Amino acid sequence: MNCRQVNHLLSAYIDGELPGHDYRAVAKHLANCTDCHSEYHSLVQTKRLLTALRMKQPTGDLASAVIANVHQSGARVKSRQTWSSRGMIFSNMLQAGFLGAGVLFLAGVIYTQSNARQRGISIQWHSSTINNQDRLPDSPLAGQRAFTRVNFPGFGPQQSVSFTFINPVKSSNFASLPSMSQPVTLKPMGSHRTH
Amino acid sequence: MDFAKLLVSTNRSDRSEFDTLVHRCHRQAYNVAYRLTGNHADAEDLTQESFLRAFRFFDRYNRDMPFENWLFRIMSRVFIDELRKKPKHRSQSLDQPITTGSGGEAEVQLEIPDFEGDPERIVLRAELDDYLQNALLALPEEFRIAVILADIEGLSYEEIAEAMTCSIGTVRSRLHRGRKLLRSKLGVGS
Repeated sequence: MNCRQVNHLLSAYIDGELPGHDYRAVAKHLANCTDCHSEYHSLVQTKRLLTALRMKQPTGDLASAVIANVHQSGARVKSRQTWSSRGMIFSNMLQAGFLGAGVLFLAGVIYTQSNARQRGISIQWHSSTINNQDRLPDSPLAGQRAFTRVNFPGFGPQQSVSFTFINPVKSSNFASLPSMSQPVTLKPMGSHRTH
Repeated sequence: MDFAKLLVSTNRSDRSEFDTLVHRCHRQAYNVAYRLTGNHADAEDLTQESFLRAFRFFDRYNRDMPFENWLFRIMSRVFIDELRKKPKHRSQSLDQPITTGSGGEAEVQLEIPDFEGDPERIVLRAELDDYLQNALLALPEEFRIAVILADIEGLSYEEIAEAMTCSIGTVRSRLHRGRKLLRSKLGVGS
């Protein structure tokens, strides 16, 4: 090891922070090199001066002042967002989301039910029973909604029913159309698909 | 799970643990802060701010590490941050010779005598302290932190590397250059 290499390692040598082989190499060099040895000696003295510095004491009760400052500042321990805590937060959000969706769904069901009760049962004729060949010129009433009262088994004495006028069809196929005089299967809104 | 309750109880236990640590470490923290800043007011501010940040990030504190070392890490960062905020850092000149009143200054630096009891030596010691402090303040901040943590706090290179978030090689270099600068400021060995 030459003087330059040794010089770089001197502080670490003084602090006992060199691995064994480097330490022995520096020690061997110092024993034979007066320049490096005086360099080493001056660095040891510098370190000793600092080591011997007395401890500066705070004036007053610094600990209480620190504690008061920390707690009065309203500082809180910041919660670290680890992956597990993120997962926990996420699953909580998911739970809350499900709960919210459930509540909204229930509210929706209650609203439609009460609405249906107020407005009666809405029925639209299923137009799949009519094909285009049977069609006649469009009626000005087509698409308009109207009400009538019908007896449904299981829905009380009389229910108000809303229906939509459709375009007229050929009389030859009139029998295929549902009408009030013919037995038809009527379903209350909700279970009946509007078309 | 009641998160609010959990948070409150965690905060309470954190607080009591933190308060205990403040009582245990505040003197040491103040000493380092004083050596870094060189005056009482700045040292107190630095200590306060370091503890405040330590409390905020208390959940990041790894209990396997001594709290002091973790606090020094925070303090080093606060110290450098604060210095960057200040428009101009006041550094004291070391060209003026040490004044002991009794002459013979050069020898004073080289030996570590036992000052206890002797009033004249107590004065001498205080002056030596100021002289060393001024030499420390003349060091670049990163050298100063390394030298203080190694020679005043007695931390290992590994601990200093953790505190300064740098490699052990960087610590070795900063410390060596810091000591050499300090030696020339103090006139040791010349």
